[in-house]
Amino acid sequence: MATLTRREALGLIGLAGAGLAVPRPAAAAAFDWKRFSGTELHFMVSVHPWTAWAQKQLPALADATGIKINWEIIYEDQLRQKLPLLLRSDPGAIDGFFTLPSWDMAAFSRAGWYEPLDKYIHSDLTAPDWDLADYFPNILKIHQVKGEQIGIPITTELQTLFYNKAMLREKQLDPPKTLDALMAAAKALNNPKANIAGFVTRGDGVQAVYTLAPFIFAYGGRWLDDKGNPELSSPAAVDGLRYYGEILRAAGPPNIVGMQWKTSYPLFQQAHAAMFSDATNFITFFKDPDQSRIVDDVGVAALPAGPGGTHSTLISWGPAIAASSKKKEATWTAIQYLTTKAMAASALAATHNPPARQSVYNSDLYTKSVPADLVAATKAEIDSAVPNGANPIVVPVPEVRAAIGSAIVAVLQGKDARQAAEAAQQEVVKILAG
Amino acid sequence: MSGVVALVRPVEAAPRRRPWRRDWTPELLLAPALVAIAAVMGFPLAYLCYMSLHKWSLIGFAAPAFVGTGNFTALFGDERFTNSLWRTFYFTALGLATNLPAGLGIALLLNRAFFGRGLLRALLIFPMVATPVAMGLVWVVMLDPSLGVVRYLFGLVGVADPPLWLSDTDWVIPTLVFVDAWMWTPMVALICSAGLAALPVEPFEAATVDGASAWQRFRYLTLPLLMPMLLVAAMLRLMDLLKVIDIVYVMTGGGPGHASETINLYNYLVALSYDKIGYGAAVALVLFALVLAGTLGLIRLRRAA
Repeated sequence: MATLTRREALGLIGLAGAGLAVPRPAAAAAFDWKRFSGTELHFMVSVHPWTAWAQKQLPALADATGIKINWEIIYEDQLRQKLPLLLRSDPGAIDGFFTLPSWDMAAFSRAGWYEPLDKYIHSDLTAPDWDLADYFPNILKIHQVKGEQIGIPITTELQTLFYNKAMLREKQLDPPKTLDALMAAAKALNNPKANIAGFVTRGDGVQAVYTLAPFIFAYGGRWLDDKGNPELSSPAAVDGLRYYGEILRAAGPPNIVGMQWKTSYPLFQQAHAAMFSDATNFITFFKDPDQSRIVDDVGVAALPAGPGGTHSTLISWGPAIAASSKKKEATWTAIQYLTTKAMAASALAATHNPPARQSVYNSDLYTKSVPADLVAATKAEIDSAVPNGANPIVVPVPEVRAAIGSAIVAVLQGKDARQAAEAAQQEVVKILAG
Repeated sequence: MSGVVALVRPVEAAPRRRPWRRDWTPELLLAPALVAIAAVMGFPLAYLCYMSLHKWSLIGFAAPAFVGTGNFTALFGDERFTNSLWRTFYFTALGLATNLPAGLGIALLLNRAFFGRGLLRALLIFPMVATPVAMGLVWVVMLDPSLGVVRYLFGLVGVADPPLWLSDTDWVIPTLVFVDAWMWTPMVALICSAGLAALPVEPFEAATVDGASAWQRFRYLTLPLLMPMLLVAAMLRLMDLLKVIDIVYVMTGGGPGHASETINLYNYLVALSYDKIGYGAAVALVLFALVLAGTLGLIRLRRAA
């Protein structure tokens, strides 16, 4: 990610042009990008590095396709309030929008706001070299409802284990590969007298639902059963929750209860924590010499496996077509233009977000811009990660996250995991019923 | 009695104007302001009342449905709501109990002439003009037990294990009150300073001549004379404390658990995060009623003073 200096990044962009054998969209033979020339579209998107990059591509998009886009960027919270209002009350007002399925999917698909994309992708409306198969299959699943594509993922956001190489070396420890090894290493590295925590992640209930997820999956648990009922008090979920409480109580920082990510990552970054688990994006903060004390000491490993294996979470924003749009084919052309292989390379160079396309992910442009162990760790995780596993896929996500969050806070305060999980289960059943 | 009435009546009746022909100038002059207030305050309030009587969702798969007072009765069975209500009262009481004496104390100090007084006054305004969100984040870092300076400072005075401030369910509200007080006590001090500067000199001279002690002068002269200003400060702080959300949102997000969730934060979460617009409107109306009642109570106190 943004481990690049400006000069390196510029060099890599040049490399992308020369090294990646990817045709520019306009050069793709026999595909008529100008088919919907003269169309005007309205996209409503959230503030995100990708949407900022995309906005800068609009003039080129207009040249290549003749499509003009009104690109409205608003904050994520506002998007979640304004978009549903417009989609419901003013059909045709929105042609395309930006969606995070782990958050939006249940509500948007139930309301019928996503236009299914398969009929566009598998037709002459799609350039032959756009190549859906180039995407990691598991990443495509992020934007699928019942097997049907409803959006195009733009990044790969996994969770990994970050560790301080120097601290592990000092105790002659290898990066832990299992939950048992993680627990042992965390306890061995924990040194309250020196103000060093063995392991840190999120302790704020609502936020920690995301970081708890891989622990529940590692014990073989899941958020919901096949019918969409919560499974928070299953033995596996209880085990995952108990482990989360135990390791953080035994080897976490003293103020772990209520700790948000903005407080947890600085501990690892300032060498006050030996290990840290959270989203891969955090590598940016650890590799930044202006703010990090561990630039050369940060190591990355796949999340340790439990009895059920290792299952990270996989999420990604992406553009989607509004089912109520009256210009869906032109909207697909625009989305397609912004997600070609060449454009994905350009977006990577500008945003440093790990790409969702395999060709770009495996290119030097990406693999040389991030530490090799990060690439190895994420590659090991992609196929077994749970698409949209960040929280249960339900309509009232924030409310359900708050209920699960209460259970997390309870175990961090030393309360019984089974009781906490059962209370959360009951609460979520109640929320979903009503 | 009847004689008086008989005497007065003719005088009153003398102009014999019809009511609609009287002078309407005051009302006409007030009209634009009244219309503006009705538009910017009356309408939203009326609409809020309307929403509070419905089951209403933005994402919504159904149109808003009328539920009467259902949202309000549900409030009393909602533990998160009742807890946030009591927590807000606790926060407000603690806030007033610290802000007012501290503000008054600072004002009394500033009332004496000493070198650098002007500079100190200017410096006092700093926390107040800074953005609460930014200041909240700075305090989060300072209070961090591993990285923050606060633990270090406590260590210097021999307290090796200070509380965990924001992570401790018992300490989180007092800690937030402290940060709030750090930001807003200067405002109370400035209001009191203005009041002190405007006090008449004669009663104090007379009291000194009569041999009143400094405490007696403060207790029987300064405090009563300053009371109207102090109540203005109390009113402004009361409104802000009851409505507090900014520093809570950035410093704890209502946590740990819900241990610092104030009613305004709960209101925000319910209405805009949980998408229960009608229920959120009911919470907002309760908060509005609380702030209004508190303010009216203080206005009445001020009149009495």
